[in-house]
Amino acid sequence: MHSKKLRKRFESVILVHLGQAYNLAMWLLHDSTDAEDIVQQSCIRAYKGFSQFRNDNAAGWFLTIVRNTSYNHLKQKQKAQNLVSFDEMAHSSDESAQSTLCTLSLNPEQLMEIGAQKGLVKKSMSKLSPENREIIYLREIAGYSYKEIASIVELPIGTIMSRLSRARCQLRKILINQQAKEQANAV
Amino acid sequence: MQCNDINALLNPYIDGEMTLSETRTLESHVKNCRQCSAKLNEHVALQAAIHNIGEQKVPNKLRKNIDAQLDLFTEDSRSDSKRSWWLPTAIGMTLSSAITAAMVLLFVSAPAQRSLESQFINAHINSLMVNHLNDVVSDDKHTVKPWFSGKIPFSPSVHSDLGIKDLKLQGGRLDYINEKQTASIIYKVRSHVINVFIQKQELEHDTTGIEITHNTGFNIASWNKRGLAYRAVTDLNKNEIQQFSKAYAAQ
Repeated sequence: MHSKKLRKRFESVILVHLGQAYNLAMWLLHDSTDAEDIVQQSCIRAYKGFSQFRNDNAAGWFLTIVRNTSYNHLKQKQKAQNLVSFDEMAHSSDESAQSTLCTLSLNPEQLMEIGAQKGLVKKSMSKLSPENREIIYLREIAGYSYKEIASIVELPIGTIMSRLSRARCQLRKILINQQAKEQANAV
Repeated sequence: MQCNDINALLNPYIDGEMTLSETRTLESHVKNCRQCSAKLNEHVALQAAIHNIGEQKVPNKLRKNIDAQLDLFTEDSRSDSKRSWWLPTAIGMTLSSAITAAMVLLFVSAPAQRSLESQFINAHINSLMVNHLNDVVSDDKHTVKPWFSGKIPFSPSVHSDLGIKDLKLQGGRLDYINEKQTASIIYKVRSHVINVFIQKQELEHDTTGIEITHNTGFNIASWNKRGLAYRAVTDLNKNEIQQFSKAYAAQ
């Protein structure tokens, strides 16, 4: 049983990051009910362990719990395997520090369309693997540095760089396909 | 640098993760290379488009459910407030005023104790933050102890050798805590600072043991000896501060 003082501290140190926790869970699980359950479970886990918390990176600690709980949930539902294998086909197995070069490119017209269509980008992101969605979310939307992401996902910075590069490349491919599909449907 | 090298650096460049010299090299190449410039624009536009998606708001229902769950693991505030009003009143009606006074003291002393602890923790933090760790810098107790002479109305005990590995006396400092003149003796164990705050104790009784409390990430060891009250504040772990305090009190 925690004291009220510890509860207040938990709210000011951990629960201020609830928004990012919820968004990370949403990007990983793609289901609002699942995301709410996972975030709730993660909060309880974090609260139970909070008296032992000595780290100065509260957001990173909390997001790591949300991430691990989300992946366990994905594994249980056997969703992760299908989504990851989709992504594995698209990139090499090399997870080294070397960045992956992306040969596909978008022309200026495509870029303009993408900028104007929030829905198209969101739809394309949803087709990425959970790993790639999470890294793009952490970097592009939550705004974490490579070092902070490395601490959250518990991987070396080199792997973060190559994974991010590959995720962007993969997103570009999906965007081009998605755009072509929508244009074909419009005709 | 070749275009392929630049292409590999576009991601860290747009993420602001490159050194100044790498940034300059890349920018000077992109300025003169139409192909790389187009690639960079594409990266920036894609980044902006993703950024534009934004964050989803946390549903109110989720926040309410979390609060309700956390309540199950938190001491109940309502029962505390009932007790603090109802119980002393009931006792006061049936027992003597002396017992009532003792109950009031019981309810008041815990918050007062926490507030006092906070003052010592603040003094510890201040000593680390404002570059005012020592007024007298020495690892020799025969330099530190006499320095306090004439400055405070008591002679603090200062020890250079407590038989603890890596422990070093750093010096002494004058503080004013809880409206009392305070002698602060500073030690270091590896990179951890221990401030031993010594004040004149009004109730002259020695404590039988060392009391260790934990507050906002710091351990505080307290004991009374020969009319002086000692409080050692540190971020060292509980076992180490206990060992230190026992050795200090035994001298």
